[in-house]
Amino acid sequence: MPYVLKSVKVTINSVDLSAYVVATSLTREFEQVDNTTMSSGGARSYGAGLENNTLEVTFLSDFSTSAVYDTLKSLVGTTTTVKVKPTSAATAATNPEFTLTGATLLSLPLVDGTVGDNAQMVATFVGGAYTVATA
Amino acid sequence: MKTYEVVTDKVEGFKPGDVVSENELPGVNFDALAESGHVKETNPKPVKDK
Repeated sequence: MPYVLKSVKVTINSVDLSAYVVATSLTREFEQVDNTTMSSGGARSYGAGLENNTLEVTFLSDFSTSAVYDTLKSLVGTTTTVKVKPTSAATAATNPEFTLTGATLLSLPLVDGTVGDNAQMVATFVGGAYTVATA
Repeated sequence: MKTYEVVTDKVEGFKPGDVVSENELPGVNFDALAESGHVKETNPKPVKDK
């Protein structure tokens, strides 16, 4: 059933930062491996290589104690566990919890915007092992 | 194994005052969690006087 994004739950390093989230995008992806041979009928043939997942989260910036900046600043350049659920309701088949374990935060733009903008901070986590829980 | 006291109300599955061990949250970076003020170590090593 289609639904409107209203209460996506985002947990970074076991910290619930949902109250600061403006947008989020979790993509499960595999690298493209070229399997083309002389008997591929003149067309490229591809297979799935290594898994290469990405979670991008846009937060409203907040530099106060234990808020967005405090939570993310020490994660830059390290690996952690990140979780996303379509809604804040209990985990279920209709509200699965997606987890990337061992995802790396490679960079964190600290101040990025235009005059008059709501200050935002976009964190991109890459890699990690994908799992999904439905209960 | 280190244990930590939860300080804020943002740590998933725990409330302030709860004690959590590293085993209970696999994959979590506890150093970052402590530096961000969400938890504090309950049994830190004492600093030796010089």
